[in-house]
Amino acid sequence: MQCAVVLLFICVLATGGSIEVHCQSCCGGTGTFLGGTERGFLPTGALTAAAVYAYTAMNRTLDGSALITDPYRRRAWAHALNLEAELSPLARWSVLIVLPLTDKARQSVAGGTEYRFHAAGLSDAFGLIKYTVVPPSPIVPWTLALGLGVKAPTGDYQRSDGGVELPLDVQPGTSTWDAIGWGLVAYRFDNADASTTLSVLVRKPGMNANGRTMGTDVQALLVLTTSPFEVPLMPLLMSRIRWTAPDRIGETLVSATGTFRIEFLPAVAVMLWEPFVVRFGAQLPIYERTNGVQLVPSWGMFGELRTTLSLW
Amino acid sequence: MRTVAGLLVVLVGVLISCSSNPPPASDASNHPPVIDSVVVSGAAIVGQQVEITCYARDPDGDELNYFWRANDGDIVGHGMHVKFFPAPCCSGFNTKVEVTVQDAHGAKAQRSIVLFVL
Repeated sequence: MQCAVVLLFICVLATGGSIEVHCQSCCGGTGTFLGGTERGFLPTGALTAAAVYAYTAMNRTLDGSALITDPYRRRAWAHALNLEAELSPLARWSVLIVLPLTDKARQSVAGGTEYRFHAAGLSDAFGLIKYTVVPPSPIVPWTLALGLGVKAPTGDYQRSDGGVELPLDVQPGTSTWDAIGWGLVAYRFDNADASTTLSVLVRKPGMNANGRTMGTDVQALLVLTTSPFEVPLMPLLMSRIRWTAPDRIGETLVSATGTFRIEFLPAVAVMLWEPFVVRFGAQLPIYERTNGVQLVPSWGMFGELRTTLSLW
Repeated sequence: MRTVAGLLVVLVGVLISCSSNPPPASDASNHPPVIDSVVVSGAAIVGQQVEITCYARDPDGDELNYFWRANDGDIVGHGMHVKFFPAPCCSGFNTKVEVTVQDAHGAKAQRSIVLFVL
């Protein structure tokens, strides 16, 4: 029974994740968070719906690993609200759709001029088709799932203010179609009180409206969960490793783009009342290295409300 | 395999339906504005501003509106005169600044300049 409870938690709560779907790497990433890419198996006929909120503050500028004074004294922030739905119409198959809403801003000071850009609206929608190769069971401790998807340019990328088009890093959308590959491995430990989940997401962006191709983005999220308490509260220890290749203009690499980052994401998941689950946590950088001068995230926080319903 | 193909078609269809394209606008009985020149104050250096001025006129004497966009960098200001701040990413690259001038009837003229960022 305890094993079954843990399996249920793995399926429903292993959302520790945070996937920055779109960053404009010229000016750092103020991305959106997705929980659905950290969930593998969904029973046939089940629908998971979630609202995931994330806030990211960007107050640091790096040149390599060195903290420097930003040439424009830039500061940025982003709110993201992702509306997620995942349906499993067939055994082992599920479809995840994410509609992100974003509200982001950047302020800069240069040449005695202080200015601020701000935009809000629908960002780029994201879809993923998942297949669970090895579903969770009381016998096999492993779960393996794979998926393919696309990110569509549904967000506005030509937003303007006062006769000036906003910079691309502040636009709600990116203007690109991106191909996405995804994989998830989960392992339940023998004592059934703990489990670990590793999800990897690879995103290959297309060329944007300015003729630039953003760098390939690889993100790996490791989640450790345990349920030591009698109450339905589960601490989650998560670490995200993210590598982004430099952007290209034609065949030429853009020098000050591309990053490597390791983050620590402590979180707690609570089942307040069935079938609703709440999860909240923080995003803290551990190590970061940039190619050239880049504005990078300082810290962040996220919260999620999720439910899973059986439709048939 | 057929299942995967079917799901992919549905997925792409849903995402395409969310995309949008802005409609064009025009007026045949009107003369479009003319851009005489776009003048840049100096070199484009990361951390420093470049002043850009667009000199345009309208044969019909209509009032003109200016719309600016840049590939990599910030544009601040409005009207015929703006400031451009090159993005830190793009030192050593050409970057494009584009101005579109529109009269009251929707007729447009467009000019692009390319700046090498130091």
